[in-house]
Amino acid sequence: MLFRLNNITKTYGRITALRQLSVEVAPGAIGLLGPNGAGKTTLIRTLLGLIGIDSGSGEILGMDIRARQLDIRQAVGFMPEDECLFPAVPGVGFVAYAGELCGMKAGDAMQRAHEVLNYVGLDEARYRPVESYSTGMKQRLKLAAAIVHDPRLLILDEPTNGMDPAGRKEMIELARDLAHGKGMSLIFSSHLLPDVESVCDHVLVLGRGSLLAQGAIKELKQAHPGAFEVRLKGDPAGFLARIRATGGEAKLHADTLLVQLGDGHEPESLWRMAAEAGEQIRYLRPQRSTLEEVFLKAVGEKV
Amino acid sequence: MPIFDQGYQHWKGPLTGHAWRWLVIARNGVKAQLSGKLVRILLFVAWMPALVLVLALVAWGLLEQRAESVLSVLRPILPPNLIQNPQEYRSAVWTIAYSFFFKAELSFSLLLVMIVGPNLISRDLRMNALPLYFSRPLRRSDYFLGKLGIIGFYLAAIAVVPAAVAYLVGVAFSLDMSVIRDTHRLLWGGAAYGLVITVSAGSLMLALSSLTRRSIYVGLAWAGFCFLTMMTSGILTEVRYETDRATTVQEGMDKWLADHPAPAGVELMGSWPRLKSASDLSAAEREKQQKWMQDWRAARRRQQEKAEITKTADIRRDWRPVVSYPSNLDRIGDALLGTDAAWVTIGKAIERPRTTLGPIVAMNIGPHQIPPELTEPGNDRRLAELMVWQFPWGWSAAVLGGLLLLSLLVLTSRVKSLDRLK
Repeated sequence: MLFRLNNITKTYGRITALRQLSVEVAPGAIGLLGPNGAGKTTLIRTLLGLIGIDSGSGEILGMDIRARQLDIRQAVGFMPEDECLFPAVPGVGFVAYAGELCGMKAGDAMQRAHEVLNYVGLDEARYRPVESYSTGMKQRLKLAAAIVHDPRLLILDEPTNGMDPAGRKEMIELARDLAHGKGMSLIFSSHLLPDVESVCDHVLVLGRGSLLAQGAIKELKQAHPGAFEVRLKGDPAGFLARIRATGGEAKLHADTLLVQLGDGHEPESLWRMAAEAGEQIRYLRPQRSTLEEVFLKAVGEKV
Repeated sequence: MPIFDQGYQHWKGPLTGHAWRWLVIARNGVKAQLSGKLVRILLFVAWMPALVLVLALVAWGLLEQRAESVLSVLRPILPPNLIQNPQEYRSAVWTIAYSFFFKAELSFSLLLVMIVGPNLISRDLRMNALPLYFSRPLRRSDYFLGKLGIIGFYLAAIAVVPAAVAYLVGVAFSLDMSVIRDTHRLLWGGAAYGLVITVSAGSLMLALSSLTRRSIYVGLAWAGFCFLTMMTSGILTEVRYETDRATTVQEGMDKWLADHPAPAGVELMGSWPRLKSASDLSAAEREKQQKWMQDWRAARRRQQEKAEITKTADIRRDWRPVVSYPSNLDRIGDALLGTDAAWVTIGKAIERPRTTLGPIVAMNIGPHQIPPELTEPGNDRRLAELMVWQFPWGWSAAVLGGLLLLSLLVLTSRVKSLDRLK
């Protein structure tokens, strides 16, 4: 078990950030989704043992979140969302310092800093003061600092924020490699659903401090029985009329018809109805939920 | 691109325990500050008083061994008792030497704190580094201790370590191991004083540094705090002294004038006499006028002396020096080193020959022509009262303790943990 939380409640004055949250998560790459104010940051801080919770219990990597906070932070790497830097050091000094703060000896930390900087792709720039880094370089630097002590769990909070497309792609590849190639568990918090989908196997969807949805992305993006995406060559009016006549429904979304067959009708009936309407089907695919639909459905908004 | 990219490798090396994590912050902070030229220059200059201390201790060691070169230099300067029995005054002389050393180093310490300290937290706030610290296995106390350790290192470098080195040199030159028995208090007293300065000045500077992201304001606030409290204390003390002195003299003279009415040749303007023209007076009146004026001057001198004695008695109850932050540190230093007792010992060496000398001079030149300093009663504490703060050291401890609490309050409210909303 990666972490387990039981009825966790955390309030800040009159604001309830986490509301009796109970969740169990297995090791792997976990996407953390939720609108602003959903409690993602509070959940991350709870997992890191950074905050005192009002009630409930939990453990992460087998360690109690109330009793073993320092041990938890020793075993977890965290890349914060905000722009934050140790001042007046070159990049390699920054990462080595982060390693020393985790208990590495100075020599080990410096050697390890070079290794992880090689890994994240910061080459000669590592000798420059960190204040001169671009946003993308700072993100890589923070990732290097988060993994310098080889954590068992890596928490990335909006890791692709402010990065150009190429940098974003590289960051995603690094995260995916750490999670799938290096056996490191990962919690990936992001507003960018394609990024989460690229990296993670599972997602947690939070809203107003509660767990709204949880599961493997493949399962959440299930195929809808009797629902298809259809594109026709000509005017769809005759085809639509026949669909509705059989008890089905269809609506036009961009250039694609989203069709829901009536009860008792097989997919083959689509070909027959198109032929009867004198139209050709050029595209036919079973309709599946996107992660965006899963997310919006979970937080209670319409697609 | 590297020729052979190993990619990510797991790491299984040893880790230190949590207890010493603050040292990492302190060590890195010290290294970063040492790169500043100003810090290096100040360190160098701040070691100069240590050289003087070493010279003083070496000279005293040689004096104890009756080295003629040192005797010829010190004999005209020092009281004969000190020259004849230097071992007897060893502890006092060492203490006074250390006292002057620490007074000089206190000024350097406050200056060094002003240069080293402002950045310590304000720059972390400016660069938003706190989430990086507190998301690692560190407590807030580790963070504060690490930052305090940076200041502690530099203060130890200019005060405690040179004091210890000077002590070793002094012991080596005394060629007498009893010197350790007589002076060991200076070692631990000096170390304790260094700790007091570090904790007090360090925590105060860290609190100031946590109040703003602009280091320049912190430096200005620190300089203003030290300088203004010192100025205010000085002005308050002087105003009070002058007021009390004038009141004492005025009251005494009013009483004297009531007992000794002015003769015909003297006109009073308040308590100040104005002499009438000699041509308007008879010879007898002129003689009375001259006699009365002599008595008036003598009475005024007595009242002024009385005012001085009253001042000496009052300085033990005067709270005004406590307003000055540096004076409070200085007072604690005096208490830890035992400076007052040392000055009393030296005072005895000076006062007793003086009081013995008075009657001898009187026999030779007549009692009315003896300089006043030879007629005053002996006061072994005269030097101590002149050289050492006389108000209770507990007052300074209370002020410094209060400032420490205030600093901790500011620090804990400004350097928050991440247990808060963004």
